[in-house]
Amino acid sequence: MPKVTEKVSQAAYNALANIVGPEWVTDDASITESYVKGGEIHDCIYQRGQQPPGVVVMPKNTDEVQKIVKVCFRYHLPYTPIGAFWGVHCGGKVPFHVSIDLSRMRGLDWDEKHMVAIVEPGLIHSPLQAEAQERGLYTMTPGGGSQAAVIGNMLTCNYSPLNYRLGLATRRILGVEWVLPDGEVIRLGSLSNSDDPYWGEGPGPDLRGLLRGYLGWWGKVGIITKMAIKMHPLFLPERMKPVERGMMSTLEFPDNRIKWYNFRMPSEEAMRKAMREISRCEIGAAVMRVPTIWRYRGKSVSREDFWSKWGPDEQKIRDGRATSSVCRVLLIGYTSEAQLKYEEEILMEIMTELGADLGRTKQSDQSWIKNADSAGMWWPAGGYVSVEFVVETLEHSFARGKTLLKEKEAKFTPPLVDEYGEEGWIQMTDMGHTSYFEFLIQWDPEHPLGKYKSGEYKAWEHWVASQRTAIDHGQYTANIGSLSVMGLTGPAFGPNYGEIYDKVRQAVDPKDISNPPLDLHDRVIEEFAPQWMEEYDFKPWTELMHGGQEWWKVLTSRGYKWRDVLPEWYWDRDDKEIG
Amino acid sequence: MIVSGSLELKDYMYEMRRCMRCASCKWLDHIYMPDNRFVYRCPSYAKYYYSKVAYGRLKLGLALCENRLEDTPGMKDMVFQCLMCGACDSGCKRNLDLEIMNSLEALRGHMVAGGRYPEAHQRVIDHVAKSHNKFGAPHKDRAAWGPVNAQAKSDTVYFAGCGASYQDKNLAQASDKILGQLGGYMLLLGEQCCGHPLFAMGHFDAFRQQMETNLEAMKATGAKRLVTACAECYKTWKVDYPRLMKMSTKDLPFEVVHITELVAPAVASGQIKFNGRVDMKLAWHDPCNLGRMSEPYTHWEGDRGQWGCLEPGQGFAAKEFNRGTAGVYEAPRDILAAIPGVEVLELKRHHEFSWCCGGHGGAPEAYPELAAYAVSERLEEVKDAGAEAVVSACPYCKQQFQDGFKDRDHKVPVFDITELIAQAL
Repeated sequence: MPKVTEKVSQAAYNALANIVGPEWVTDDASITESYVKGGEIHDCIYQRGQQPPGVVVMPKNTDEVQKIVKVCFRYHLPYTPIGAFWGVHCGGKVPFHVSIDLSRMRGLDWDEKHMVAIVEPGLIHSPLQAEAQERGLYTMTPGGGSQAAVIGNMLTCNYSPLNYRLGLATRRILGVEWVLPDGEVIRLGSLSNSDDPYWGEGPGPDLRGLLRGYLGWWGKVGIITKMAIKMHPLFLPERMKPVERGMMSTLEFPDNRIKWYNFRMPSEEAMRKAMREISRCEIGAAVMRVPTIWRYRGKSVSREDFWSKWGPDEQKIRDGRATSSVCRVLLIGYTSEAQLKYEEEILMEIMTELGADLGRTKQSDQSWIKNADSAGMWWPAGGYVSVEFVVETLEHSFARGKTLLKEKEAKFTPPLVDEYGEEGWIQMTDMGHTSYFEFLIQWDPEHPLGKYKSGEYKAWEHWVASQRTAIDHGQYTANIGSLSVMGLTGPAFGPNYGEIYDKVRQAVDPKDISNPPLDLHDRVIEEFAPQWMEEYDFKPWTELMHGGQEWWKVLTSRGYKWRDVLPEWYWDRDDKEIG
Repeated sequence: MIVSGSLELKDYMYEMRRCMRCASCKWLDHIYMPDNRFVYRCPSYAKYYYSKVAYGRLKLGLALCENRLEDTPGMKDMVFQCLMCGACDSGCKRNLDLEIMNSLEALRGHMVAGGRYPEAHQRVIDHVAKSHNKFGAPHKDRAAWGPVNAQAKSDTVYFAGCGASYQDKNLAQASDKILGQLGGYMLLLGEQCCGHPLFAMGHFDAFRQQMETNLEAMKATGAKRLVTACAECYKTWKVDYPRLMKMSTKDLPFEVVHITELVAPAVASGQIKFNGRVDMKLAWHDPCNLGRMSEPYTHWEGDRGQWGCLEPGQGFAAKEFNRGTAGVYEAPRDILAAIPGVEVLELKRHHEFSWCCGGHGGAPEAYPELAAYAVSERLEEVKDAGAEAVVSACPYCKQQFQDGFKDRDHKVPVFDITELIAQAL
């Protein structure tokens, strides 16, 4: 049984300071306090249970990362690696863990000839894109946002509308340098037998799938200190120019090479046909149906401005005259102006046949090329989360949207924001071979509607319920990894997805020190909302599995409960009814 | 009730709770992100890392308000190792639209009220109290720069500020020459430090004293307009004075203008003609306090309702939102572009996400390494732009640049815009 280190000992602290120098390690609470995500944004789900680290350490290279991890391994210190601290899952959960903040490792090297970027974990997307474009290359900016760390994002969701043309970003991972939880460094792809990371495959089994899993391990399998990424040749002779500033700053498109189209479709069937047909013809750079609410958000200059438009338009939106009936298409003349003209002709032919009307749209990069405003998802209501984000078929996307909407409207609206029948975000991926679906919910954490004191409590429950609906309706879900309620989805997918997860975890991280614990949600639900186990018909992960829970075993054997390790204020927001 | 511009930390609980570490306060606007070299907007983070940026300070403020944190050895540095340049605020307005700068100012006030502030700041406070200027120079020498065109009575008051009065008298003399061509001006009798350093350091009571003294002197002149060439003084008169008086800038009994706002239209109309030629590629540096920090202040009272929306209180219209984009940006650019021979170059971080020179927020006094780092980074941008000189509109920016060049191989001349204008007249 591993021993829980309740506090980082002076010896361990000194060992860390010896590696990075005293300037780059701290246990000062005025700093460690801010190493939780905050904003209560995902308190309902992924962030629940986060607490400040005992120590923050900031290495500057792989050598230092390796030495730090070895110290953690020796002293049995749980640690959480942090790239840009954007992924809400990277906050530590075990008391007095070590935050390994990789922000100083922002290196970016190029192999222009082979169109490869070699990046370190602190690098974010917008500088990568800026430097790529200087070299006649580009990549996509993911929905996670320009401020997301490239490596962290490549190892997790990395979804973008541009994945329609470029494919899932994870397939662009080439050579990788990986510090395992015991401090061993392994190199994947061509890095395994040379210093050149240009090739993804190497001798032996390809461990990139293991590294990433379905939706990433969220720091559970060690730390990636270097990754080579395949880039694409830029389709523009010149860089796009920024225009406007503040909230409306954007990149202006040269309309001879890149162009948005918004088509109002006469029916859902026409929408499906359009999306399929565009893909079948292999035209376009992005094809999607964007939720109405995000169109309103994009047009608003403040929270007040948004609500002054959204509320009064309720009937118009319910009647389907708003943009959930809009098929949004991006065309790019990758090789020439003639290509754009050619694809435009095909697009118009498809849409004319389906009876679609072409509407207006701005010809600029409001998102996806260089900027993605995921950070702005929170301002309309204060609280936001995606309860689902999954890649399957187009038919699955539409079906999953209807299932989740029904559940949301029946049980959770209010306090969740009423989106007037919105069935979620749908886009084509892999040239139409797959489809991405996302269901986003919002609420006001400060001033919830309805009878519940806490909007985020209901958002949390909606997330749990969404996993149940996937099982009941034979639908696929993103919530099958360490993000999920493992006791609920684990046994339902594959030969117990949870067991596979745990076996891999035990093989790679036998001391369970890399971003533990695995079964967070089950534990919190068990203590915080046990009624859900009956309502949504599951047994917590802890009753199903026998390994991989050392932290919990030790914590509970010492009488720890969430209420002991989390501050009192944390529990103020619960399921109490008002009046 | 919510009162815009409150100086109480507890009034920013919404801001501190709603910050979710998106780091817009740290990174440059992604649309304008130039490369992997100049990626940050926050000098404090770029120098110290960890969470020494607005999101970290807001988390700290929240913990203090909720009584979850006692004093720690590093707390003072965490709060005061910051230039108070406002770059974070314009970043947050891009995404979450929170009042970050107000929160940081209130956090400093909270720390000062608890006696937790850098010792080096006390010297500045004592200087202002005793000598009415931040340098501790004799008050009687304040106008020793030698006004030539000052009149006994005018509708325009020239407020020189401490920097131009004591540190770089060229600037006051250049302003004198310019204002002479624009119809003359009068001095503010009994002019004292505007109080900017006190406000930025979080000493609001001492600041209020300076404000009251200067406002009384201004009232005695009966003038309709106050003009200054110092960005710090400009921001203080235009934004902070009305803020403390709970009134909007537009309701002040006099107009506050920066000298570039007078010169630009005069150049456009032909009232001012540049006869001299200045053959140079000039890099224009946007001073924080002329640009993003100097949007007109709008006083507002009301409540925060459903969805966090601000609902105006009785007698108040809907709140006007500051984004950092309505400061003075184009006037100095237009003036420089009109000088024969001048080519104006943009630095990579410009307008509301301009990189601070390092001369603000009490950093040069308490954290000289931060001030030196900030200016060193800016001078890298100047070099990167291929500029033959760097121009700004604030005596402290100029001083920072001059200090910054001392230890560098790459050196170019530094000007205040008033010097160039006066030279070209």
